[in-house]
Amino acid sequence: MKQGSLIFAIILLLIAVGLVITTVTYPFRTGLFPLISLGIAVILLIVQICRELRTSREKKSFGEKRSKTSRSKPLAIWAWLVATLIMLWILGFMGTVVLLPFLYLRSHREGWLISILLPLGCGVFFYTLFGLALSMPLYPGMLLSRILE
Amino acid sequence: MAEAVWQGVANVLNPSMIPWVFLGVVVGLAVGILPGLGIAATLAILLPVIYGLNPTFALTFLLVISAAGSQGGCVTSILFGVPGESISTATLLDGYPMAQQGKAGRALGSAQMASMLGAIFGGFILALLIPVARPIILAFGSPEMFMMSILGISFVAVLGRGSAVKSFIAGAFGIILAFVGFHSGTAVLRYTAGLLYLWNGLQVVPVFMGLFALPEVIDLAVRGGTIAREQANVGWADVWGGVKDTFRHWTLVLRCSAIGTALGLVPGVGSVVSQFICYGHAKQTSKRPQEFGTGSIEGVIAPESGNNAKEGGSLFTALAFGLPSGAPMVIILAALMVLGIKPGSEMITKHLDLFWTLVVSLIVGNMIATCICILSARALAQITFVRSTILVPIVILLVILGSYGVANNIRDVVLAFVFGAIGHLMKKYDYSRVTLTIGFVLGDYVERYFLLSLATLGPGFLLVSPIALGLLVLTILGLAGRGMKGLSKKFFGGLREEEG
Repeated sequence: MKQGSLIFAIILLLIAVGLVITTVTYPFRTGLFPLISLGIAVILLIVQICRELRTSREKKSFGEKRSKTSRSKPLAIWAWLVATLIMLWILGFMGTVVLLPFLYLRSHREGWLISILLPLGCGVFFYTLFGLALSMPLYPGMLLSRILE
Repeated sequence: MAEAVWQGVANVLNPSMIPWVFLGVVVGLAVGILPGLGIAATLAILLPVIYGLNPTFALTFLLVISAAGSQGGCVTSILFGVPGESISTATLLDGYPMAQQGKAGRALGSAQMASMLGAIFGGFILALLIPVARPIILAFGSPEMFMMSILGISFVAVLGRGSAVKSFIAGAFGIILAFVGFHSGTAVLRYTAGLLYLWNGLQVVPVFMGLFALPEVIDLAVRGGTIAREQANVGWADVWGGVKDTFRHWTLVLRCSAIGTALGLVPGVGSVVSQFICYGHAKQTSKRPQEFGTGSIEGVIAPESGNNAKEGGSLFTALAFGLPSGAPMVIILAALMVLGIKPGSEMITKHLDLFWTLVVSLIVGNMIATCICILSARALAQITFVRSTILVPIVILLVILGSYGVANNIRDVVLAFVFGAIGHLMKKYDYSRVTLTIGFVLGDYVERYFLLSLATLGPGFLLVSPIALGLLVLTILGLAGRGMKGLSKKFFGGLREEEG
């Protein structure tokens, strides 16, 4: 955790420094407020990194191993979120509304009945409300767009 | 005047008007509860419907939708940690932790009652303001707006939990996020990385959805079980307990309603700003500030009362001066014009009966919405006991819908997911997402009004405005008070340790 916190602070510092380098190229009036904010951020990040280094040295001896499951579960949900974005891009809005709940429920060993009824309910609800009632242009997805071409 | 008030009450309670009020409440609540259905977008969609309608019916219908919409937004914020409307984001900071503790019924009860009291307060202030509002509103120029934004940003010192350094870092990054896009003052593009999508800046709704909702989805999926970590039987007693909590904190309701109404009067200040200012004020003045963010009832009451009180203030400036405070008021103004009514001083002279009808409909609409929400709160709270495997995909879909619905742009969904990752890391490493939000919402105001004041009044612009000076003193006193509090805490904490 402490190691991760230190790495996160260093990444933030690198981003802030990168933004400072970009900002100095802007005209004075455009860059004034960003430079003030970034200046504060850089100073505080240096303070934070020093703090993290100090505490990580103090707590080094108490290092603990994280279990495999504590890492695999967040990774699994992140994989789901990335897969959702890809699904949305390929299958579009309605495809994702139906397929995401179905796959998620089945992968978590929910019964067939709920795994079919819930996605269908979501599909009908979202399509009726947004597609039909509000005429919202629902993103069709790359696949359908290609087929319609 | 009394005749106009009576006419307004009679218009709203007219039997032929009641169905429109009810319909408006139902549509408004649905819009508020479902992320993706924005109040402004719904009003715009319904604009063609009001053609040919009696102007009083049409405007009441639209206004009630707007009022009930801002009230319904808190439901998803409390139950799922997904803001139904961007104006309900501050409510989730304590409402969702309460739901996790099995207190969703209490949170819903107090949020609804606070909303109603805020709306009533806003309505009454609106009525009292008619003779004196003009000079107050006209007194607010760019120096005053600049200081108002600085006062808002100063809440960064109060709102963060845990490390103050991390809170300020998050606040500074939030300000930088506000600068993404085209800078209208100098016609320069900032931090757009060559992407056309970023020219208009970062959209508020996807950023909020990502920062607040996705980390909760991740937590829920990792943890498993149900949203409510503690098993509890949600009954009417819980909901009623929430209602009573609101009355117990009546001074907080009054203070936040006053803040909300005052901010509503200032054109250009959206509800997104006022909710966080109310939340910050509640935390700053609370006897138990350490409980904020962990399920404090005051953290639910403050933003909700401020949000709905703001409607009264913004309605006044919209009707009396034609100055909208946000997108929904822009549509209401458009509806006025569609119906052949010119907003401006005529509204409080020639059309005073219509003005009062709208004030009464705002109050009645909120009261009906509160009754519906309180009556359904017990059933709604049961959602927090549904298995996470069922809720996770639904909440992900709500996030997608909420982000996509802003501009029907798939890139907004990607933006929400990117901010989801940022929010997850911030939560994991204890960087305040609230202070980032404050910086993000107010950063642009600070820069814009500073440059405007400098250009129009010169470097000494603060000295020419007594209101701006007053706000400056208020900011300094607030920060000094916070500093003193921190020092005394350290000092007495140290003494206690020594004694121990």
